[in-house]
Amino acid sequence: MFNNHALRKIREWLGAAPSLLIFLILILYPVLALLVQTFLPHMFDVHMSLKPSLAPIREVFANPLNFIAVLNSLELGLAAAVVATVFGTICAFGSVRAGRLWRIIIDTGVWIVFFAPSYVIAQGWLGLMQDGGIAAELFHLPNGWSAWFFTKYGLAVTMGLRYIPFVYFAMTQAIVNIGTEFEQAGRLLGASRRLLFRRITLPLMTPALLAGASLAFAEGFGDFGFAAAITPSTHIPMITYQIYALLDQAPVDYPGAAGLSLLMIIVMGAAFWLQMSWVKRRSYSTVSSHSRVKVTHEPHRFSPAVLGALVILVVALVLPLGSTVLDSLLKSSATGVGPGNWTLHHYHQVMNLGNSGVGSLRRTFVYAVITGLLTMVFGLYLAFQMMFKKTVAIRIINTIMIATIAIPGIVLAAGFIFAYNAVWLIPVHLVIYGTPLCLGMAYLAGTLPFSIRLQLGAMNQMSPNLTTAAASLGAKQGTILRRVVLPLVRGTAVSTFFMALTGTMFELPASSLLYPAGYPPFPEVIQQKFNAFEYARGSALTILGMAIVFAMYAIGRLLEWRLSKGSTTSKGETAPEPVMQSRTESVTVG
Amino acid sequence: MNLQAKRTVISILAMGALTSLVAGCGTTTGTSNNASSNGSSNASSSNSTASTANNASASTTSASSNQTLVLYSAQGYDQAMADAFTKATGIKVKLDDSSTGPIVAKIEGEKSNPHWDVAWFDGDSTMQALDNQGLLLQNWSPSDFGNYNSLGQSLVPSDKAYFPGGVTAAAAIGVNTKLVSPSQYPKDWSDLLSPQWKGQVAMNDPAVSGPTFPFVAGMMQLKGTQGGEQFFTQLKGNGLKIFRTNGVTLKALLNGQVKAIMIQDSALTSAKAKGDPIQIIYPSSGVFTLPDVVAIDKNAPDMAAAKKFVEFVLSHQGQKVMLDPKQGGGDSYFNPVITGETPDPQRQQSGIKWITVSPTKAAQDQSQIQSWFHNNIVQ
Repeated sequence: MFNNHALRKIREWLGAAPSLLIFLILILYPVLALLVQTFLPHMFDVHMSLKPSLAPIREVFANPLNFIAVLNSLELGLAAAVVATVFGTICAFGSVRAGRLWRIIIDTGVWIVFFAPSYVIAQGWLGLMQDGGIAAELFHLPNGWSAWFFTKYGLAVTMGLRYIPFVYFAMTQAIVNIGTEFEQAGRLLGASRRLLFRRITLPLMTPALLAGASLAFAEGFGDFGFAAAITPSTHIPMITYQIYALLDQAPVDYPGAAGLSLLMIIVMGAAFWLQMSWVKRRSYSTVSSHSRVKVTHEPHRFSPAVLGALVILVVALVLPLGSTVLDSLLKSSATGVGPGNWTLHHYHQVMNLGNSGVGSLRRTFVYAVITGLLTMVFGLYLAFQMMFKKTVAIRIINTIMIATIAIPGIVLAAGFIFAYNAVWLIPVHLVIYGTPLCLGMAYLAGTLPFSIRLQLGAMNQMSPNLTTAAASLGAKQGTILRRVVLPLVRGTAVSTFFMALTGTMFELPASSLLYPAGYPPFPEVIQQKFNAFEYARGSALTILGMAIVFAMYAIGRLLEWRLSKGSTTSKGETAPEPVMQSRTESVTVG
Repeated sequence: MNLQAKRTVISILAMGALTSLVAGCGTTTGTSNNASSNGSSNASSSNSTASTANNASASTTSASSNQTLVLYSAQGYDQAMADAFTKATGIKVKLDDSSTGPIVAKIEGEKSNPHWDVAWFDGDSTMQALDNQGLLLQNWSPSDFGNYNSLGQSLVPSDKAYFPGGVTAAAAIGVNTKLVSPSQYPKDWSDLLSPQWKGQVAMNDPAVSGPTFPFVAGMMQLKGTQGGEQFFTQLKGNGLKIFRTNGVTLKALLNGQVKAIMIQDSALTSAKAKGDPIQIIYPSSGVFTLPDVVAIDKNAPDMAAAKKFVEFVLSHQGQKVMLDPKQGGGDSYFNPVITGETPDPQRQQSGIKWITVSPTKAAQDQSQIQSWFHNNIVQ
């Protein structure tokens, strides 16, 4: 009996071994390599010393700049979450209540905001709002006109606009899932619209709202793109930028960065934990399993919510990206926007830059496609393991893996330096730091937890009855995976591919800290251009990269549409639909 | 159980696929080759001067060399220099072109297992900090060491851990000639404290901009720590604006946001050469030397190539590449420290009082000065 039990335990752990190995190589070892310096600051010195010290932790709180940075990030994260919640909710209502065409427009807009890398958006805002920037030239504004923008308030609003999708995805799904029965019942009983909203709609939506808001907070707190682009001009220190500064400016302070990183992981972990628990609560408070999820009420032609959503998207998307486009097309930013000042010259230039232009784009595209594919495959595999094999080992890995979403890219990248350049790897010839393999692994480490989470989300929404039914009818695990699960999560899988693809195309921290000498990846080159004040070239490169990503995305949607056309006959839905809700409808309908 | 085992095998295979796939995508780049080139290095270093001097024969030898130099550099002319060096010696160069901060960070991150051969950026105090950690090759003399003029020699540290390639002023004053008449031009740093300049002066953030820390450290050396801190505090009281780096600060001057700026003189010269309305003023109490410095990694994977590169920087052939603004942009407007080399005619030569900033002292005080400046001036 005992023997059997032990054997089963061993088998469980063996089954979990691949997941454990992936997790260990990609995340645990690199993160530990950085964080251990919080307590053993001399571990990676030339003369290694294991003398423990708490100085780095003390420094986090003793250094006033660190302290201000932490406070600012908390404040900005909260403020941005509030802004994102308000705007994201308006957009969600706009989308659900809109007619078909407007829904497609709003949905696509939100997706572009979601996919647009935050430092591209931030650079766009900077180019638009700074003295002598695009706005100043268009409207002949005097210097100092935008001083109000380069404050915490301006930053909070622009960051909030960036995080709309996180609230939007949660909310559209919630609104759709609420269905109409409760509202109709309320209406039958004579409740006013306002009462209906306050007593029925809002309470039902609250978990989704809170989930979206905490995700937006975590994004804001951990956002490096905005910090890198805007913090230096606003002199508002933020935690991500402070970590970057400790890592990337002379004098370098790795233990200090490790201390701040630890703090950051704790705060972000708490935010994600809150989000997860709210998502869980929603799963029994809404009525999705029995309600009719298809929106039955006639869409309003053009309600105020639709108008609001469109206005918000214009501000969130058209302004920053439009300014990047203008920057890339104007002959000289000092000569105004008049006719005859348009040129494709900058595009020609970056195409001819070789290694630091189109060469880097090609290189990064290869990285991105491979990372996308591996993220999709590994994500599916790991999510499947976690979903359907509830052993203790798997559950532990599951929890930790999901928790790694809380680890910011800059922390992970810094960890990779130490982990894969460590002296103990020399005798076994495993020093992969400085090679494309190391950079590729860092990209994968950054995208994999998100992929697992999305795929888990999709699998969670699948009725367990389906797999139970299949199993009781005698289907083996492999068959269930192939015939039941895969077809239902296909949309999500494709989406994670594109998420990883865009993520890698514009990933900044790992790209700048880990690239092989002489072969800079695309994001690093863009960053260099902006740092060298070649705004036009930097913008041209950005636009080229975005064009490729959108082209890939369009191809993907087409593929997905073709696939779904082939398998399901009833719906023929072609509008871009969020991953989070993607296949649930057909599940419940089917 | 059978199924379980099969799945385990499949997932292990998948892991293998990951490594091979990612590795496959970049097989062309490979790792920096460590030991392989060391054996051949001695022979090639002895005839390095010959090969650099003889331009014509160099290209014929290039095909046979399998050395690779890994160069971490923040100079505008680094790509041009890498190309010229490869052409002259046949040694391939992997250039990691970045800003000074990231380069230093990378070097420190790699310190127990370095991947670079040569580092090159502006600021001897920053390089001195790396030397203090014992990361640089010491007590080696390039064969063309005798090419240095007296200023050049004075900037070489006694342990010969790094070598200056040229000198600029960490900061000079630039005024917008459209907004300021010649009679109003400041003559010295302290003139900028007068009410006339209230809210009209800008400089860079020393935490971000490479050349700005030597300027701040130089001021502390010139006026003493207390005097220096007082100067910047008074400037701040007079409405000093802080921008990120040369480019932004220059833009603020040109579009009239401020009337005077204190930035690296090569950036001012470069803008003036482009026709921007700028007058450069070298303050009477002196400007602070900012040499670009090139150093060799103590554990350079390719030591011979590294030594050749440093010799190439100090050679007339190398200097010619560096001094050509078409190749190096604004960074080419430096003052040569090699005898017989003449600076670009756009650079003012006379009436400049140079103050050599002690890199040892600046390196020692760096974190204290940086954090004081950030907490009291930038914030």
